[in-house]
Amino acid sequence: MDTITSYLSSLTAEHYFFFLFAIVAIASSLEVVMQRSPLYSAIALVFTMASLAANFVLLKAQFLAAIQIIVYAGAIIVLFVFVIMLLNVRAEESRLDRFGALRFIAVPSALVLFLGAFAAIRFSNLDTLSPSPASAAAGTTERIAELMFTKYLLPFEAASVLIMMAIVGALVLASRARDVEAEMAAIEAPAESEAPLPEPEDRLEEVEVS
Amino acid sequence: MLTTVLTISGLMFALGVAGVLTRRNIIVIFMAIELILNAANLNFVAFSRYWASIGGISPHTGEVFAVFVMVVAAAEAAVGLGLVIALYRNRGTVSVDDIDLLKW
Repeated sequence: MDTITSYLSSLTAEHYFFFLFAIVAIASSLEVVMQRSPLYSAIALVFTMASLAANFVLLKAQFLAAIQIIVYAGAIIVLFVFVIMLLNVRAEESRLDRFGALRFIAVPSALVLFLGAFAAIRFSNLDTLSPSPASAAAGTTERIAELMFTKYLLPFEAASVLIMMAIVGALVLASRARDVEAEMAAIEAPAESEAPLPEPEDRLEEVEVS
Repeated sequence: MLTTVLTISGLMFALGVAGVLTRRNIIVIFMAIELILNAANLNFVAFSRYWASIGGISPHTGEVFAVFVMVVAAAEAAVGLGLVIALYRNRGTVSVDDIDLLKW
């Protein structure tokens, strides 16, 4: 009992907020996996990203928290929602039940993965590490930019090339494929495909004059 | 405290793996991959906060790598969803069970 009370009294407001956002993150990522409708999965993913951003703030990484909100919640999730709306994917979901056997293999193996990671963390001496002394500049844009444009300049340039290729690739993949042969045929023989004009008497319309 | 963060990140990673393995909708599989990448990001940030005492490495290295992970995630999402659109146009489905041309 004493250990519990001393543990609880050692917790600061930072810890409580951390646990709150961690629980939200885990619960909403469970929702991402469990929801039947992909749109609800995307909305749950927004909650996951937002609570992760809050945890980044608590870990003194403010710049990353802002980037997390802007890039994930602002761009990637919107892209997901766009595609879901565009394709109008109705429930694939009645067919999910056919794969009961597969699910009974997949979920235990994910559990084993987690337990392995948990054991590795639990029996390490990582808890002896203490947080680095907090300076006012920790996690700011300046500190990250300083590293990114000196020591990690080459990965930065490679990342920009990667983004460029991704833009071009996404455009090529998502744009409608042109039917080249049909276009060529239309250029070579434009008039024949058109319907003949209707006869003049057909175009006249009888109007009753009183 | 560090082990708590790492445990949460491990839990999120395992949830992402379970999602990739069980779901049949390719868009939801992409979302589960985003979960996995975010679990890795949480690890990077936690270590950049707690592992600063090791000499020679700047305490912000983890954050820089988290930014690179986000770059890769954004590129992956853009190209992947482009593929999904092209696939849906040609095959009329987003279920990974129906997209089995290269299977066996």
